[in-house]
Amino acid sequence: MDIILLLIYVALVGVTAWLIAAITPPRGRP
Amino acid sequence: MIDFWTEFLLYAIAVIVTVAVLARPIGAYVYRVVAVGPASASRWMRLESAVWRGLGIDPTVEMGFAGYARALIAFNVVGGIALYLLLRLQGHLPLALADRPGFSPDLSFNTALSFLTNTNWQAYSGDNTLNHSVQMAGLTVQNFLSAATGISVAVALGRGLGSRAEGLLGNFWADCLRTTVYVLLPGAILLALYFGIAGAVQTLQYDAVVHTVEGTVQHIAVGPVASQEAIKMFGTNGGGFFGANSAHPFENPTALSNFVQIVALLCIPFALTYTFGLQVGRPRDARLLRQVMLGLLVALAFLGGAAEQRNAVPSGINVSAAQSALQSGGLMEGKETRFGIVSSTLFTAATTGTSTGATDASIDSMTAMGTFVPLFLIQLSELTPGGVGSGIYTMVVYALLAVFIAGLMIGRTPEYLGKKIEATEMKLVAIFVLVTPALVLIGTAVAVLWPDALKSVGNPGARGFTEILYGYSSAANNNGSSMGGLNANTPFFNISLGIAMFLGRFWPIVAALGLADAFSRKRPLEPGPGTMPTSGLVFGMLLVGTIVLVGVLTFVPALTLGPVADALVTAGGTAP
Repeated sequence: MDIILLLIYVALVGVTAWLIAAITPPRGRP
Repeated sequence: MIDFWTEFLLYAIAVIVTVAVLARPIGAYVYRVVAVGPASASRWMRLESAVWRGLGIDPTVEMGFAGYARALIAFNVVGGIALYLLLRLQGHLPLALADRPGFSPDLSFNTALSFLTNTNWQAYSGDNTLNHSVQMAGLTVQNFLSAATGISVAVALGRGLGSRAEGLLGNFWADCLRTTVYVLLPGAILLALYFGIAGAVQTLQYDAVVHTVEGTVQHIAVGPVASQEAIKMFGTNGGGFFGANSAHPFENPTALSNFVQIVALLCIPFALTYTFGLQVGRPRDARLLRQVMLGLLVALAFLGGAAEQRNAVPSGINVSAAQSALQSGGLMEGKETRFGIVSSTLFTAATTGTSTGATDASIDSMTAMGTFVPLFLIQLSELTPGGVGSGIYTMVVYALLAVFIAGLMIGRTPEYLGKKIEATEMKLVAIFVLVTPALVLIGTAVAVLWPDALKSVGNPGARGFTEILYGYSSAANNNGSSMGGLNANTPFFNISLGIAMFLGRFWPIVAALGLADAFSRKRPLEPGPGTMPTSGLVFGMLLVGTIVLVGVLTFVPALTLGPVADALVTAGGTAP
């Protein structure tokens, strides 16, 4: 169970990291 | 005899005046020590420098959006793992008791995410399941850090909307540490001292043994309550030491301490509107946001109080709940007699209008309308005045939405605080506004269809549906209060509510930081003939309309199945 919950936690952090990456403006944008 | 209306008015005025007196200096103080930071030659900075050297961090290095957001998420992720391990391993920690083993994995997951996200949803009763070491080193610590996270985001958004360097939002580590040490700790210490003096217990013992007049021995749960209570209210956390939360006399001893708790939880959310006004250099615009927050809170609090004061006794019972010279009247089931209707319903409105979620009365015992009020306050996205930090950044997002809608309707240039609103900003606003309703509605829909989940519901029918809807609304909006009839300590509810809490906290935070970044890159515009004033009555009404309409349009089908149906059913069996 601990492992399953760890995987869910990693997934939650992963989708949040994806959102950060999606919002991050491209380099050099004024 | 003081009737309900007079008592409500006097109590509300006393709260508003006290908060107004405290909020301005606290807001200015937060601006000085967090948003600007201590002067490099100051005594504080010399003390800080030693800490920064030890941590290997340069607090003067400003972060962009990605750096700030990643540092914030990483900090919180580590905090969540640490709290999970403390909960799982509590039987092996100092001050451990043999009959209090570690929490189950799913309850640890739920509790860790709950305190990580400033939600403080509690699917357990802390006074008979938790060790003091976890209460102090786990939950209380997270109470500080989650509050500091929220304030840091608010300050970063203020920097973005104020005219600063392009794409730089400040340093998350500096914001977080300064908020914790300079703002939250002093306030919490003062409040803990007051609560201790007022009668809240503060000890490392687990129980007080008393001999009753009947000759039996009774063990009364005690612990380090006053210290946890202080940050519980000041940081709009809400997780109680006792299962009964602020209805317990060791956690909320007197009517005066009840008043202080209401003031304590409203202070920082209102104070941050002053901080925001100073950051963007437009105190009148910030004042309008504050007035909208207050107006919505008072209106809904009054509605809740009036609903509970009614003489709505089920027909066939020969009693009266009418107020008279001989009785205060009202529906007192689930409420403390030492607080009464006004103190209980104002407390409930204040803790659900902020992201606190503490309770001094049972929400599940209230009428359908009495239950609707805290539920709807939560569903308005927690902005009346909202949590520490989250309240002001949520209100700013709704102000952006209101300006955009006004622009669409009457052809105004969409701009706010001198910054033009374009497609990028509106996409971020859409993410912010849609994430939590999606979590609430999808979560509730899945729960009512999930095998065995309905066994957790304490009441059948519309009230049971409201319990589930309330649970997901509370989790996704990081409030933490609950309707006690729902037994949420099951793997399904623990995990699904945990997911709702995490995404409902960090996706809006990332969107808010994205907005800060986007606005920081825009050149300030001079007001032109097409600029809509955002500090006057017209914009205030538009903002209220936007907030209420978004809330109503999003949730009205679910509310119809819950509190509205509940009201229709119970109205048939009660006296008017």
